[in-house]
Amino acid sequence: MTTTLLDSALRISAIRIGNQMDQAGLPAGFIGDCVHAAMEHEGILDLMEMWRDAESDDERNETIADLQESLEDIQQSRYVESTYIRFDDLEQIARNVMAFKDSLRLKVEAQGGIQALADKSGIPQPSLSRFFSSAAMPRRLTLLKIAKALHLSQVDIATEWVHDNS
Amino acid sequence: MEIIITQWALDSYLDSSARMGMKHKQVFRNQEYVEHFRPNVLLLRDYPTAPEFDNQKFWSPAEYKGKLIRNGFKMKWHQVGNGLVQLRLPVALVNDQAYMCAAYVKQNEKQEARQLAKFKTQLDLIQRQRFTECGRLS
Repeated sequence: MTTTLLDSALRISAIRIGNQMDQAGLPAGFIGDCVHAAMEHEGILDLMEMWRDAESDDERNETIADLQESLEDIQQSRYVESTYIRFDDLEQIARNVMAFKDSLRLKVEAQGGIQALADKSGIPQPSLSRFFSSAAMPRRLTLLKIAKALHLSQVDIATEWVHDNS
Repeated sequence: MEIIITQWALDSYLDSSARMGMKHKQVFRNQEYVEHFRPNVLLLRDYPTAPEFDNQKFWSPAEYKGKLIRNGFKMKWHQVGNGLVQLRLPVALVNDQAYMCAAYVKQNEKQEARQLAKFKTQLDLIQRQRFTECGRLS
């Protein structure tokens, strides 16, 4: 019984924060995904609470980008065994990932920039800014969203260093 | 105990919480990795008997807002590299295996809380076998 009450309280909390996110103008799809995921993953509700309690725009934006990363993580539905990468190769891979993202960024700028992409893709702007500035491997589902929003082909988003999170 | 490198760990070496790549932007040097971090992480093979695991400055249970994260731990390094940063490696211990998750440079309490919230979700996914393994450390 206690668990049920606790679960109900957490659900209500997630929905309330979702409303606040809506009032703050965050994309509806992103909010829906957050609220839905928070029902199952406490870490996502924690991040939503940190967004609510943030004391600056920077802190709020970092939290949004963290939420998006967790949402991308939970899209993975299975165990995947990837190839082992030697420590000595990491620097080259980081350079390759950044080169790929830089070339993609040029296509984004040609179509109105990051905010326009955020509006078209439903991915919050702070998440896209982090995506383009970080050397982390892009998630396949994120690339597909970007490609769809910008009407890019498979060739435009082809990269060896992609994390298949489907 | 086997030591599993997850995609989150790999990504954190390519990048890190402050958008400052650890290796990419030289948060630490190769020599520190070879002589220091790698041997430390390899201690997990002998968990919990290696005496280093009794040192709270090196190893502690992961907590979020004072509440223990089940099966979650942190490996900690202090004053790392030229920037003298605080490096943290969240580790999930599940079914006699150690999973290296997203390492980060600790900047302040709020930033660390966000990292640990993400770690909680990563732990959920490890337990549900919904993650990517990028090799094992041996």
